Amino acid sequence: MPKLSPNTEYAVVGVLLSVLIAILYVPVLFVKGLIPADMRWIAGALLAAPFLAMHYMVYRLMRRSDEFLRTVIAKRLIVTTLLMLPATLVYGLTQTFVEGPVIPITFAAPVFWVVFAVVCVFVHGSRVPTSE
Amino acid sequence: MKNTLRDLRTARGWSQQELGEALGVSRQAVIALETERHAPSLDLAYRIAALFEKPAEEIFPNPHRKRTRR
Repeated sequence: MPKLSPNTEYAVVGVLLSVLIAILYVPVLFVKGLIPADMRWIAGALLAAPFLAMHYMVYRLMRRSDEFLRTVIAKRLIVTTLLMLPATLVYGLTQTFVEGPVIPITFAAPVFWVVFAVVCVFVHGSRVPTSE
Repeated sequence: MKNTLRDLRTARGWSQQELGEALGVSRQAVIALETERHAPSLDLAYRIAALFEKPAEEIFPNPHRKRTRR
């Protein structure tokens, strides 16, 4: 099998993991009540695994990339985090003080990757302000 | 960062892909360098200088060096 470029490998595995998450997530949520209580941690770990794999894939992409792509990915991750943290903070605090729809904290993971995908469209340079 | 990379590359008849392969970086990195969207590390600047057999400062003019009047 030919060795895939870092970007291709990330794209292919990322799509496969996203499909896996979609396949696992919904059924497990629906059949939660049918799973014996002492076995539910397995369902939780099963759902967490593809998300952790996504994190590993980004780390692997950064390791295999050149300095330009590494900087761009780091910038994208920072922008995504800067968008996600205040959003979850405001929503979490609002939820604490005002009765509203309760969203499981685990939704932060898929939302993070959706926001990351959107950020990728807008952040594609490594330029930083210089004294030039 | 301002540079003469595009001129040097085209003078040798190389594509961006070929230059990327010679430097061990992606085509995106070459495009970013040529369009001044990426300031290279010292290591990459030296690799480029070695490839084109020119001093790094000739390819990437030092913006901090004071211009000398003749």
